Amino acid sequence: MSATVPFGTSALRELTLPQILRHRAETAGDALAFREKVRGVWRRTTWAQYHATARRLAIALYSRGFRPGDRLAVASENIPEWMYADLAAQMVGGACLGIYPTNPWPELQYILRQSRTRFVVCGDQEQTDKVIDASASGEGLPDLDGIITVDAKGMRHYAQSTLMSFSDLLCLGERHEAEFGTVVDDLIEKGRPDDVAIVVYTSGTTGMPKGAMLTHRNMVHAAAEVVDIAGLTADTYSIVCYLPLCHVAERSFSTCMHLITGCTISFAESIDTVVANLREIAPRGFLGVPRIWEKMQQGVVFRMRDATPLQRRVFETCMARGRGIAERRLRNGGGFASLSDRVAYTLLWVTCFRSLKKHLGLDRVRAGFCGGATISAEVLLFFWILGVPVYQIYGMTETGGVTHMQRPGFTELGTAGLLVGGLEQRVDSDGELLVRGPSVFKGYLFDEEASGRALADGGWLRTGDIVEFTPDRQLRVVDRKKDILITSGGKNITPSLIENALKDSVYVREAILLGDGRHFLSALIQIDFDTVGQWAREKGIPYTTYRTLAENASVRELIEAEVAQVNARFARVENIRKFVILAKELDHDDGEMTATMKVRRRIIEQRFRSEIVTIYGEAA
Amino acid sequence: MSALLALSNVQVLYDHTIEAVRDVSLEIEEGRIVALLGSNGAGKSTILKAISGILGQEDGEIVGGSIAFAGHDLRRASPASIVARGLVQVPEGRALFATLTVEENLVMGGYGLSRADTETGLEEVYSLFPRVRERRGQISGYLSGGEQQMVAIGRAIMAKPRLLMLDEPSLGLAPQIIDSIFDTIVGLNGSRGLTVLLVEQNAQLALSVASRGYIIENGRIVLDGMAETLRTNPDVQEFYLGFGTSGTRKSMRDVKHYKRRKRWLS
Repeated sequence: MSATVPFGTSALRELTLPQILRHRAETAGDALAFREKVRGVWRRTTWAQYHATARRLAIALYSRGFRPGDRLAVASENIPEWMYADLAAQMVGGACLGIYPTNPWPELQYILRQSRTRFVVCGDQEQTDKVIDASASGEGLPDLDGIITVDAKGMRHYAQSTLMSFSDLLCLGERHEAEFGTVVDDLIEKGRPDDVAIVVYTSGTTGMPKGAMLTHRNMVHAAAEVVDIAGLTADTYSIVCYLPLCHVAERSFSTCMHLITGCTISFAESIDTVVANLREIAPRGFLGVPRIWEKMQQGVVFRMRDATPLQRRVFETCMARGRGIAERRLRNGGGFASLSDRVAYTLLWVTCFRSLKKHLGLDRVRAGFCGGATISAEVLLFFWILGVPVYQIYGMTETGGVTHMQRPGFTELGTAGLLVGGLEQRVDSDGELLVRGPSVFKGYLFDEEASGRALADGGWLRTGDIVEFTPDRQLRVVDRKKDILITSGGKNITPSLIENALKDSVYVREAILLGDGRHFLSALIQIDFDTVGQWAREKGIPYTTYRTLAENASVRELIEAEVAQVNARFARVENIRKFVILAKELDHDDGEMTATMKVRRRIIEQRFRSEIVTIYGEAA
Repeated sequence: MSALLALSNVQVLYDHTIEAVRDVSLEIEEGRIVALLGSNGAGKSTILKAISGILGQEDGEIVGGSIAFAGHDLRRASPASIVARGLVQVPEGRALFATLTVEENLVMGGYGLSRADTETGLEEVYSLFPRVRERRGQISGYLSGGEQQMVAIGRAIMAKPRLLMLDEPSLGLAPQIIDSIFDTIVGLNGSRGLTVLLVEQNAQLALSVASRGYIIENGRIVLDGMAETLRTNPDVQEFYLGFGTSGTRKSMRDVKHYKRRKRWLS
């Protein structure tokens, strides 16, 4: 059956992810699936090799007692082995879940315990140590049967009997081919779209993370819609896999769209080389969270200050000229508004934008995507001026990825575009968005109560987001329902809007708005160490560490001016009357941010209690 | 009390392209011993060379910031005038004039002094390091490492420093010799009120004699504070003092192939 599946996503939608992989291996086995940079050389993996490796791993897992319905976890940076493990677990009928490599061990222990995971694949010694710590501490990990390490460097003397290297496991799979090969093939064949394929732990900006169970249908539907709407094929799509695969967005845009389009994925050498690798590969598609796009933009703006006066002048002139073109282009739905705009853009492209785009590695991008949180319109416009179309997407873990996306024709700034096909939406009386359809998840793993809260009657998913729609049905997200502030004067405030305006400043890295139940608004601000550092140097203000900068009086004046500028753009009740510069940088290790760099408001409000007291007084 | 030596946001480029240190600010008060710690290539020696005005030989250049010694700007000063002001460096690896005798080396340190001043200077060095007196007539290149270090410090003392900068004085020496050299340094600080900037890789040793410390990594100061505070900082303990996370001494067997993230929280 699989050999006769035609190309196009409609025929793939009734298949499981391992079935699609098998289909790729059978129809285009010699085509390139992965590129991975190892010691400076790009190593290639074909679709046939991808399938064979995942299958061998599945056989080995089966021989070690992994059964349908079990769970396998991966704690690693993005490497091909991540995908082999993901697909291998699914081949046997199990589910795969990812753990952020930055998660400290107590969080890892919580996830492995809560999900009753049986095997965990670790990228290196660091991740393995965390699992070992987690099994030895507190109540341990009673369900864990095996730890598999990809890069076993430095672990020769480890005596744990549960420990195994990834390559040994592959050899085991080869030895058991005769015994279990057909069993695994049968399990692949028997897989149903409504089986749970992956479990994604939500980042948990509130409380402990919850494991969302996503089926093959959820994942395939969400990814296939993006592929169809954006017109992605193996020829028009390629991607650098760099955002954590534990997150639903990268899983959808890498693992799933890779399978659905048959395109090529390149793995960045390491986190530190993403920028260089991006430049080398120049992918055709690029997915970024707001933080990534912001960093790219700030990088350019910032580097321009060190450029020669002529370069700076050229850049500034081109950006100013390009602005109008981009704004008209966005209003026009993504296409140039007129022939003269097209000609003018081409001139700017030759003068400046071509090399700038090349430098960023975005020169071949046909479709950039931005999702995960609201992004400031200024940043988005920057990329449109350069001529990189960046489409806003909206979706959540519980919908297997994208539910709304901008597309040619619907590109209004600040919206997340139209609902994708196959889904229904409605808005609750309080403005909360509800979604229903084939990509809505099955519920949270071992958490009936939370599942009940998320899934309303009739299969409607509560997104927790307050939304509005433009006249042509484009989605505008107002804010998280639980983040809306109500001042003691009874005024509803949307924090993200003001926070993003603050973060538009190159000097502000993070801003947290306070004011719920209080009589005025205030903000906790984390300054950007690099930009404020350079500013201090130019002004001749001596400093050493982040802390000395944060406590410097002139820096406070600088930020005061930035805050005043933002205040001028908002109504009086929305003005920030007081602010505090945080004396330490927010960090995942300290629990102040999630692994995806979202701030955890509750924890920050506890942790920085003394700062808040200086703003509102003891009574606050 | 204002600082004897103050660096403010110093930035150094080598060959117009390679940024060796960036935004380095530090202050040394008169009469203190201050330690500058960091691993290989962090930029410690570059900072000393910037202060002494001898970056030019290596195609280095101070492109930003200021260096002030007792209120005078040193950025445009010649190395000789910097020494004349009382800021003297003992270079890494001793750098003696190997073919000259010990005494000739010392006399070179006091170049330009009157005969009488040279005599008192020599006498002072010999009383500090009796061993050097014994070796005064020998060719300095044939001395042991420890003796050479003593001569190098003695040569600097000849220039009558207000602030002595020592670049890794413990390098390649036996522990006993190191102890005696450090005793002398502490003695000079105590008896004559000599201000000392001590650059070291041996953090344990440096933090035991210094009152204040700066830690530099990749050309930037990542942490500074009083020596006692630094000694109890978990990052300093793990990365510089060789303690495990639980405060016990670490075994080489347990050294990991990955690095715990350095946080440098002050």
